[in-house]
Amino acid sequence: MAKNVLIVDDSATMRKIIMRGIRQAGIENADFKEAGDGVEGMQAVEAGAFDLILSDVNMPNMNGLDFVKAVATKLGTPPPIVMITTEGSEEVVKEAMNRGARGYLKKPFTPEKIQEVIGPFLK
Amino acid sequence: MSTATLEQHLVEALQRAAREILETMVSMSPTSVTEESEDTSSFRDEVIGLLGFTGTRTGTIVVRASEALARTVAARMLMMEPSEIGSFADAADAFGEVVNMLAGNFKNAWVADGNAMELAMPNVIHNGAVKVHSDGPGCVRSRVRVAVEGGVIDIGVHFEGKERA
Repeated sequence: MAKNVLIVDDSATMRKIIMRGIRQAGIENADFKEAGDGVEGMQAVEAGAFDLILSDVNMPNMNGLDFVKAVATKLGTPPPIVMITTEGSEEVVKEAMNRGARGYLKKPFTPEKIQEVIGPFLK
Repeated sequence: MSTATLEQHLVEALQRAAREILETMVSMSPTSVTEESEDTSSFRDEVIGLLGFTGTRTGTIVVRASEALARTVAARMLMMEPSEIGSFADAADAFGEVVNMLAGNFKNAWVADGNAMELAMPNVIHNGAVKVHSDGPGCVRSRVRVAVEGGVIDIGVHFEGKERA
């Protein structure tokens, strides 16, 4: 059965790369919805149910850390959220986890790393 | 008086990040990644990617390339042919993401030294001129040049002069 995955990233290029990377990682059961920032991400979350949310951190309008917090506040028990970002500092990771993120994938990434981090959430 | 450069380990971190990003996300194999002298704070290039930052130091990361190479980068990232990249906006989005990854990876090295850094959003300028503030006492300028098939990508890191507490 297909899993609904929301990708929140302000770069259309990066959203395409993430989708391609997930397929290259051998994960074939994902249906994707895209959002360009945290505000659009919240609109998507309010409109539909997702099995996994992948979110950038550095975005306009609503950044990824505020988005994670907003999703947790809105849903109470949110789906797993994995941050996909260039910012691998301990501070950012800790803050994302404190706000409800379940995982972290650093850019640049390989299909093998996608399988390791994201694969368990889409089984 | 010559402008100071970044500490060597930060230059090397930027070189590693540039190579890894191009190989992993752009499917390009750099033929060389070298440290160069960044002699100017004024730029006029076909494509200029800018990303400002604040924190322990304030400054700008400036990434330059030809339009043809920026389109090739976008095409490689999207697994298309350069001729299939229609508007420059598509190339700019991809190039901006490369700038974003370079800045984020540089930040990781910078904060590992106990510094703070907050990144702005990347901005890509087409056929324009840019002046950043890295002239004068206390300024720092460094550049890494990445040679790939089809040209070079210059990655400059510019710190303004005023050091923050």
